[in-house]
Amino acid sequence: MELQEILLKIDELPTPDPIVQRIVSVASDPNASAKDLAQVIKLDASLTARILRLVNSAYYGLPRKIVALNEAIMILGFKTVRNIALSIFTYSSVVKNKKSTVDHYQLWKHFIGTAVGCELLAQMVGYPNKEELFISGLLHDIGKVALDYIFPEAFAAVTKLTKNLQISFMQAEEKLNLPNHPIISGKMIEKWNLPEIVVYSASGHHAPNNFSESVYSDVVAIVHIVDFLINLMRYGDSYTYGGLTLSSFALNVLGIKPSFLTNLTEKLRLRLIEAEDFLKIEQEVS
Amino acid sequence: MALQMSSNRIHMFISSFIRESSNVKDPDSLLLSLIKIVQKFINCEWIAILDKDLNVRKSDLNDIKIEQDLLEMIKWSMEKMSPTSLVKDQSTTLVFPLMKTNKVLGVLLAKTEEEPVFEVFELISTLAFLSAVVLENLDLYRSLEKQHAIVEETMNYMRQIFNSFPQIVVVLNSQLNPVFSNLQYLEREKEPKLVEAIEKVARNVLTTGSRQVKEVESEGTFYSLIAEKIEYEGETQVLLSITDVTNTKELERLKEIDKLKTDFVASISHELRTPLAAIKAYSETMLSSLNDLDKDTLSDFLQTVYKESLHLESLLDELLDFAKIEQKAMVLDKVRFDLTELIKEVTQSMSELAKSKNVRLEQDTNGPIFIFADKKRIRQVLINLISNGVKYSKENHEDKFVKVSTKLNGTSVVVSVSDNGIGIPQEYQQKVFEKFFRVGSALDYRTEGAGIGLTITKEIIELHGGKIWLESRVDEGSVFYVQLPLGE
Ligand SMILES: [Fe+2]
Ligand SMILES: [Fe+2]
Repeated sequence: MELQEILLKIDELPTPDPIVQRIVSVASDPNASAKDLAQVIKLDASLTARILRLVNSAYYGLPRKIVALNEAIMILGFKTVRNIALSIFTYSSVVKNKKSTVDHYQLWKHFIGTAVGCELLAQMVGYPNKEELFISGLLHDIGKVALDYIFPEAFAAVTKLTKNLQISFMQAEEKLNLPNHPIISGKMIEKWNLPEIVVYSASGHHAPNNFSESVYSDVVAIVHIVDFLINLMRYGDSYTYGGLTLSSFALNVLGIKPSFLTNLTEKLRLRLIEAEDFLKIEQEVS
Repeated sequence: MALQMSSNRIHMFISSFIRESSNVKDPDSLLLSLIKIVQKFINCEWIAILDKDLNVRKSDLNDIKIEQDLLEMIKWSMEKMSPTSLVKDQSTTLVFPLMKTNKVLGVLLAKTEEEPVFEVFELISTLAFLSAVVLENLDLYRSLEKQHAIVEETMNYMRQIFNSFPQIVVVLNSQLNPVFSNLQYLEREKEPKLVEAIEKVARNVLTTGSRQVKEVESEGTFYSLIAEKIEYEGETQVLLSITDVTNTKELERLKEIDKLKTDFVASISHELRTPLAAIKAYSETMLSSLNDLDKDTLSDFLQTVYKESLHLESLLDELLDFAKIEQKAMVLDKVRFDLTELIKEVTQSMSELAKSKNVRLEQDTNGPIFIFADKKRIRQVLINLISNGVKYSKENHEDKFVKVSTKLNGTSVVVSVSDNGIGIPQEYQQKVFEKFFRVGSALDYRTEGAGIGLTITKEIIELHGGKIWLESRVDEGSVFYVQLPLGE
């Protein structure tokens, strides 16, 4: 299967619904106020309720309960509320794909784990834009979802191969002559009008060395390291069963030592417990 | 259109931040310029910067009230390292943590009646990030300055310690220039002999790479140098510690004298015992066999006893003189006499002794030389020097001689006593005049007498205001020179 064919099919994929698309665009409009963003979200009552539930979740640990969207945006910031909206949409696209037999819950867990880890690592290394890294982590493997949508048989073949041969998803894709999932992830994120930072950090997450000269080398390194750790911790399932390697180049870019990873893993475990509400987004909102 | 405007504002904002922050030297003025820049972008009722313990560090309004709900959000913002804002009664308080690599340094608060747009959050957030970087660098700079002061203080402390050492301490770099030294070194760095020795020993350390030890005498002081290689900032240097060992040398000398005294007592007893034993043996024989001895034999025996007692007497005289020298009790009895005549008299009286050793005695003098001196003592000097020449002649040499010459030299006369005897090795030439010294046992020197003859000789000459010295070569012979003032 050619990349070109897949890319054509990507157009057939569900794009974020118009409200999520507008949320993304308002959340990056320099002249938008909190009220502007709140008004867009309010158009979808169910989304509003889910956002408010996550806003009040243990992950943000706010000192008091937030009842108004406007307040939520002022307190957590435009980008965080946008992230929550995107998480809810991505959740629907992953879990609600009824065509496939894959355990989507485990795949979603891998997405959320990587998102939480990326935001945490960004903060720990003093990267100023940690909210964008949450999205990078969330969407880094969205290309796998695309494959599952377009060719569930191909996805099934890949997962069978990775399990039997104990290899990585990428290695299986290469064996089956499929385009690499990071490339598809990048294309999709681009289509969703998300910032370039998110596009490149996702499309480079298995090849941080290729970004040595790029201004995005640090964000690519963050996603690469966290993806590796989340797989190592067996948090969720990315259908990769071996063959993953940690790039020492990525560690060097961030100026961290392997011992730093122990510290990161400890903190990540705690953060993941706090992020549990992100795993049960479909629960009915009262 | 909106994006275009935004990038213009970001550009403006970044350049004003750089302008303001590049001139700040201390955290307070950085915080002040931070407040100024924020005011440029959003109209604020007040702006304040709190440190990490939530004390107001800087603000453009006195008596800022921070209510409980705001305080909670500030704490949350600092803990989560996320900016936030609190809307209350038509006004908004923006909260931006100042943080750098997972460390919160403080928080920026801005209270405004305006409704902040997304861009304002982004700009202030970036500003807070940049400020934290500058703040941390300022902190770093200050701790560096503090460290520098500590290093300086430590250096002074070390220098004080080094200055309190009695030793000279100096470190030379690979070009042999001093890079560190204590006061003791600075006091002596103008002594050429010492400096030369230091450089020589340091050069040896640099070429051999191993520890070197050397002793040197400079301006009356003996130094012991210990030099060692040290590495400093990738350069090989030499550390020298130099100790004044003059006192140790003096002690060594006294010890040596002590040993010489012991040897002297041992040898003098032996010297006294020899004639005494002969006297005793002959007297005993005569007493026990008085009736059996004929007159000639008896006379011969008595002659020996007499000769030996004379020898004993001369030994005792020598000892007595020596004791006088030790107690500085020798007094000269000066008269005017002819030195040439005295030399003649002495050589004649010693011809027997010379003949017994097969040595020719020669006199090379020109007419009378009148001198005002202690005649008895000068005779003693001549006897001592001539008998030494005879004594230390070469055993199996064919033509052995001892020659006494005189030479007038203005107001003084130089008497030289030369021989073609065994000579005195270089290393002993100064020591022969020292008390108790005998070139003795270790060498092929047949010595007789107490070994104090030359000491007494030197003392007598010096009491006369004269000088004695020698020239000698092993196997070729010696010349002793005595210079005496003519006197009166
Ligand atoms: Fe991946
Ligand atoms: Fe992954």
